[in-house]
Amino acid sequence: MPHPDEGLIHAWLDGELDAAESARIEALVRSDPEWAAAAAEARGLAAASARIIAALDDVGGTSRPGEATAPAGMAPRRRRPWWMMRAAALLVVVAGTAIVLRRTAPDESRGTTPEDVRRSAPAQQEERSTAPARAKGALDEDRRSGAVEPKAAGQRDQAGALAGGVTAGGAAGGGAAAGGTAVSGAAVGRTTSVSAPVAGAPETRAPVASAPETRAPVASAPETRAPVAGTEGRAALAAATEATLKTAAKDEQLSRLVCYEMVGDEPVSGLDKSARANALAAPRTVARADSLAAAAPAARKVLALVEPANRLRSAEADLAERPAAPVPAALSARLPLQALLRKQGPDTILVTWRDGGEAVTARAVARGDTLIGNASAAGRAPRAFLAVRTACPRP
Amino acid sequence: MTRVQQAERLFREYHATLVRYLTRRLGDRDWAEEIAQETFVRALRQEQIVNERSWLFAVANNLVRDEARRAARQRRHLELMAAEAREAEREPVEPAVERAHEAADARHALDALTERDRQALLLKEEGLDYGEIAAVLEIERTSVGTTLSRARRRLAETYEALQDARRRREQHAAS
Repeated sequence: MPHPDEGLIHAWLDGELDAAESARIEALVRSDPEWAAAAAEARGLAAASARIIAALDDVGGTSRPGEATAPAGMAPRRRRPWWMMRAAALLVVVAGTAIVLRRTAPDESRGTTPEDVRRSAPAQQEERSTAPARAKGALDEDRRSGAVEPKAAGQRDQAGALAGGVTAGGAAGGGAAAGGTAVSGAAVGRTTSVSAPVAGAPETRAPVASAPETRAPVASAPETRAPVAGTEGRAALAAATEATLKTAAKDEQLSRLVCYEMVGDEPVSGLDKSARANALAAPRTVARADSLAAAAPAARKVLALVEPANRLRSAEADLAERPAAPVPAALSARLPLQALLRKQGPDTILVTWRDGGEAVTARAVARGDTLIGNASAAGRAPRAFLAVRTACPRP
Repeated sequence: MTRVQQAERLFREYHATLVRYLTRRLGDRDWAEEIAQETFVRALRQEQIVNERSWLFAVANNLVRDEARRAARQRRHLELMAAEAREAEREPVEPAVERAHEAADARHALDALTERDRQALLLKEEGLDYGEIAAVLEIERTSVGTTLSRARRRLAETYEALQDARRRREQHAAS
């Protein structure tokens, strides 16, 4: 009698042997207790493996395979202050971007279909693919309030392309020098995608990015707060802005400029990686708004230049001074915020990007000048953050 | 059938399973979506695909492999295991997160496998037969059974060890 061959037994159990070989193994299992035990063990291992692998579907984001919603990402518990600064700063850049996109979003909602894959294929050759986007709710809201005028068809196309995703060509790269006056330059290779929330829950996500048909003029976002940077920091930001503007202008792709300033953030403890826990994170984050506002400010100003061709250029600088202006007591719409964060409603901004090769995911809601959200990444603790709109330094 | 129609059909038939496979493998739904999308974009460009399922999974695997910082990501992920275990001792385990703990153990157990074993296991769970798995992993078909048997054993043993350790911690905390 040959000794049991585990590989052969697994192949037999998996139905991968031909008839003759299968009959031979079957006979061995019936006649030899050693083979029978090995087969029983193999059955148990196969079943256990299937069960263990199925358990993986409980984590990895707010959605599961087959669903269309964007994930909040896995968020193992770990405190990494350095990440808070970089990730949250970049988040704010992209979140600001998404707000702009929302205000220029297409008028009609549209799910992504394989047809979109076909149409977007040319753009995909150069750009990383991103998730589909819809922002009808936000646009309608803005229109009702008179904040946004109807866009020309070309602009809508452009907004759709932007909402489809943003690739960061120079986002929040290296660290600033001691003293907080150096400006991080263009860190290439980081990909950032912005997904406006999906309203209709299509079955799949597919690339939707497309080349813009028109170029919008350079326009800065409303400057609702006075700059709070110190002299050196402001100068550094201005230099970074100028450099980025020049590059963007060369490409004739610049469309918008939005700035947010981190005023506080802290880890959201007691969470795990599951989708359920991510849902729990939302109200906790909102509940922490006050403590976030009172926390020591991150004092990092971010400026974002949004381009219509799936690119985001940005610069950042560590500032020496704390923000002098008080954090607005906003967040008056606390309950709506909580609901939005939980439901990924039309006003929720979903952001993902790569930081050091890791996926960082955040969801945020903007109300007035305030931006609040959760940021999480595989291997890093979820963070709640609060940012306020600030003036963008001009060259 | 035109190439576009072919791509649409592939998308309909394999997108969900490909994303599930990648999500399980990477532990990151967004990343999985990115890889899956890029895979289908490549399928759209492909003139002819003979064995479409194994082709898609092979392309997806190659795309994952191309991620330059994958190794660093995995190292950091493994480093987290210890940190998470320590924190788990301090933080109360709520019933609502029990499944998440199981999922975390499953992830850690899967990450402890070799790359080939892990891929073989995940591909098998997606219904690929031995021939397809062999094509994706570029190994002999006759090796798939041995690979799977080794992978299943290690996965189950590692997972069980993690569960035991977790139970011991909880008992210790309760006593």
